[in-house]
Amino acid sequence: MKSACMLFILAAGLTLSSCKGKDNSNNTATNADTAQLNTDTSTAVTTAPQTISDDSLRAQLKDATKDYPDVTATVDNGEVTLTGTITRDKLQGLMQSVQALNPKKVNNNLTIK
Amino acid sequence: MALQDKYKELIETAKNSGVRNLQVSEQNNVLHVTGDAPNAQVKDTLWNVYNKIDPDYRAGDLVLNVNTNVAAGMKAKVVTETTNLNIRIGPGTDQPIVGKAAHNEIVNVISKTNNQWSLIRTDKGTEGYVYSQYLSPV
Repeated sequence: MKSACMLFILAAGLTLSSCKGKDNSNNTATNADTAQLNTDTSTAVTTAPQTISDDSLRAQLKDATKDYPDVTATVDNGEVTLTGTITRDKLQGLMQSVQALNPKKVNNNLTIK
Repeated sequence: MALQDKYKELIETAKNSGVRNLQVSEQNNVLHVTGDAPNAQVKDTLWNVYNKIDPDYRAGDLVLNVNTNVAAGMKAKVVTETTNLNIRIGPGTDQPIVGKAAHNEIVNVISKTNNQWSLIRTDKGTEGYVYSQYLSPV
């Protein structure tokens, strides 16, 4: 009887610890998701500027500048530099797209036609 | 503080026009203003004030990240300048186009994929990803 009890306790302990493990991994997943959300709505949660890697900033800039073929966007240490040419009526849209990615800074070196 | 003074009108306009979760912070001589605009008109008003204070956005001392956040289940209006909005198979401009939503068309937001893309469905039944900047809550 005693050993059955011990077994039960042991089994319960194991189950608990495995549960704990699962919870932890769940938490990690949630954190990863949250982290992604932060780049997303940086607005709501983090205080700008958040730490977005240059690589992901570059990838996002590709979409953000797609409608502006004469504009080149380069990234260095979280700062975006825009070069090339644009018409004034398109400038606001471009700047909105770029600043929505929440870079540390945007250097507008564009020539306005 | 100097930057907050420079962009005072912008911050006040944001406060007075229903921008939620407004945050203003200064780092390395750049002012970051973030928040959720209730609609595209408010966002454009803020950008017009920004352009008035810093013509053509040359100073590089402000990052204005106040956007109209659409959420799952919402209806949203297509706020392109004049053109149709591309609907794509996946979230990326390298993804094939499956259809278009007209300028000013109302679409259904199924989910928000990331800070750039949303999954939407048109009333005609076309479903796919669009660039969220061109959506405004209705």
